[in-house]
Amino acid sequence: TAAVEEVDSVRTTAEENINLLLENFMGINDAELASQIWDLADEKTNTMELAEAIDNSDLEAFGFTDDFIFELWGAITDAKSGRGKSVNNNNQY
Amino acid sequence: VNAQREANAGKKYDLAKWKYAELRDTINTSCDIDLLEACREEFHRRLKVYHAWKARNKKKNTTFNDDMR
Repeated sequence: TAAVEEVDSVRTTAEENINLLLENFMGINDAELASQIWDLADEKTNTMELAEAIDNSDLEAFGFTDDFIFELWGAITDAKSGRGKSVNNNNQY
Repeated sequence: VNAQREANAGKKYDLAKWKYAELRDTINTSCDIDLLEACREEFHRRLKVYHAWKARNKKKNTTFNDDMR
């Protein structure tokens, strides 16, 4: 049960981070869209694989830039490594 | 990503990398008619793509739920 809870928590954190990025970049706040991005990213090992997966999916039409995909990947890896919400922490400096 | 790059190749302003707040603030403060129009177009493009995705996604989920019955 603990492992399942941990996976759920990583997913929730990642989706919250993704949603914040979507809100910031696109002006869109949509948990379903964030969830779809997480599903695409879940088993990928690097930014390029994520970019390729997005390009081969329904999300291709959004025209996400490389920079944005890079930020998405950062949010996902942060959540996976337990760094939690790190989105926009650059603004503190 | 590639399609977006190609679409922007011939345009005066490349707003694809602009954040939502930058587009919004430019629309609220700029006097450059061309830039205003480009911002409006970029806004419209993002919204249109989002609505299309949303509609498609809804349809997919409805079909899936129907199959479950």
